[in-house]
Amino acid sequence: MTLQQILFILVGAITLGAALMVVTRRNVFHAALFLILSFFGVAGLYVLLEAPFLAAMQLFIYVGGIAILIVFAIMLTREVMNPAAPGANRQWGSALLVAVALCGVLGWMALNHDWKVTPGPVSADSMANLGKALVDPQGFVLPFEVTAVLLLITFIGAVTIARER
Amino acid sequence: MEFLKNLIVNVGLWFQGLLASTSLPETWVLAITRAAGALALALVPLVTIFFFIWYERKIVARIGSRLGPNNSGAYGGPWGIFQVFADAIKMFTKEDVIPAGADRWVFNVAPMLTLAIAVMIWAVLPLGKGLIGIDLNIGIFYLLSLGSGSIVTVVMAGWGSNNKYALLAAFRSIATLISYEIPKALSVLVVVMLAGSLSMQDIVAAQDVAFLLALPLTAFLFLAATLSELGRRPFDLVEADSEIVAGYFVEYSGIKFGMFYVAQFMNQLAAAAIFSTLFLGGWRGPWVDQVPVLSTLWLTAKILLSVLIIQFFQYTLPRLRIDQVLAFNWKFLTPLALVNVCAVALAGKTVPASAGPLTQAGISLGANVVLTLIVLGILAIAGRQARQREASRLATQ
Amino acid sequence: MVPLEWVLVLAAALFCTGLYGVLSRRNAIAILMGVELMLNAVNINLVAFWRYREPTAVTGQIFALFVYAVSVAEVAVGLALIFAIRRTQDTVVLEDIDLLKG
Repeated sequence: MTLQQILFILVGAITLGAALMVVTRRNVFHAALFLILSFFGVAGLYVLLEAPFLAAMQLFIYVGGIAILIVFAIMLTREVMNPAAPGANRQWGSALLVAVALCGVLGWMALNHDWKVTPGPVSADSMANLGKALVDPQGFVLPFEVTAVLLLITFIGAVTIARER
Repeated sequence: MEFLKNLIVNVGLWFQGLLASTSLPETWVLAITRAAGALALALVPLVTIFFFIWYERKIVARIGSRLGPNNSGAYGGPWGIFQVFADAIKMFTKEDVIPAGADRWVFNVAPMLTLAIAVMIWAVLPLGKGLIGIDLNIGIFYLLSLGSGSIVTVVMAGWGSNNKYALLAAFRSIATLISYEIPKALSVLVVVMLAGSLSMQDIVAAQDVAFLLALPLTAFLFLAATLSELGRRPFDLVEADSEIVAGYFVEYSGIKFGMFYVAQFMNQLAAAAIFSTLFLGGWRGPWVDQVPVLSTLWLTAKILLSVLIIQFFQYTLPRLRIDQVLAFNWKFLTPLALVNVCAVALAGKTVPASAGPLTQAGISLGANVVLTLIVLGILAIAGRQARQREASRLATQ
Repeated sequence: MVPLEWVLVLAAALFCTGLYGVLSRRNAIAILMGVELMLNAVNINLVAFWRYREPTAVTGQIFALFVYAVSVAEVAVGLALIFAIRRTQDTVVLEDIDLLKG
């Protein structure tokens, strides 16, 4: 058991445990806090997979953006949610069955397939390559610009939908 | 004498040699040395905070024509240096009140997380030549994402207090924090563009000419955004004593309030350190190559200067309202930051690749100065128009 | 080094947890949180395959970045819709929003 494997099991347990709390907590604010914990766990996983830039982006975007949005939404819709009501709806049994079955299928497939792993070192200037690829005409500049337009549309759409008439 | 020249690094190596001469295995020696180094690094902000709280109170007092802490009280000590210890003892001995209906876990964890994040910032700051916690290749980006982490603690503190005024203050604080992340990230982007790397040591190494002289407008943008993130006047509406009592930590007392208070000062110290590293040249100064331990002294001097600048803003400017704060960000700072990025990038393209650092700094300075003059011109015209409108409105009444 | 299968199994478990959250929760915002868990699981898969199959290319990380951008867009619009529903229907429980039911 190398140190990396021990760390991976620890971070994975935190992420999965927090995710299970997210989907079972009745108090939806506590679920949001556990969601933030699972985002931190996923960022730790990215660090273990040697993608530090993605780990920082995960913290920046998910924790600093999406999680805050979700917490705001919870606080602003608080009074219409009866706290004594059950958190799960009528079909939680079949949902559990489907989720466990899918997890079994995916896990069996992951363990019994030869993935042809080619473990090499990550290049030292992978971040510089990332930046160059995003603005390279033969690279990803078109999805980059389209994403900018997508975010603008989202901005305008969200403000229009949520506006007071 | 040679030992003294690179004092801090040599002490670490001596400690490691001491451990290696015992019969511990190699990995244990390394692990213990690293753990001791991490502990020493974490103690640096926690110990120097005592000095900096005293420093701030002296500055505040002198700005207000007062003396500040001095030896006239029973616990003052010479020049009042024990005043801070007396405050700390007072805070430790206060009663720990948890409001009824508060969410216990969330309420108790929030101040601990705030302090933890404030200490985590110090892992990537270059404290001297070859003296850094860890030289991440995403150094400055790590600092920006820790700012997002501190937003979560504000949410927890505001929600866990079961107090609608704390919740309101937490909302305002979060709105300010996430709004001012944008000009901060954009001004850091300009610095990274000039330095060519996100790593903190590389940014310091690229400052043959300090970036404050090459990019004054960017430094101003970064300072304004940082003042807001710290909750310092003119943006301190979230903890305005005379308005919303203590903002989102109104329900905290005793050592938990002490943790928030210390975390706020530590954030200020860390912000001064980041400003010194990004814009004042970090640990660079004369005679650093011959005597590396002088680099830490230069950095300390620059941090003291940056703290002085932040205090001048804090204690001489009035407070802005929340709508003024947000309007200042979205209508002034963010467009200015975006245009600044474009201007510096364009100016950088006109520099021939073989030019020396002074030429590059000069061209960036030119771009910044031109942009500042244009912005001042626009503000002057808009101000004159507003005054004319006001005068005609008063004349026709 | 951690075997690739471990990372894939973890991502699969995270995905199915998010799926359970989407299918079984009453509050609309809790369903959105399940969707976020699923997107995170997909990102872990992408980065794991990038690291273990082709670490010198940048395609894996870029794909993950675009997944971030799209998920941000989807959360923003989803929450705006929830606000609009709350204003008119006065509830955020998805079972009670059945105006189109026959």
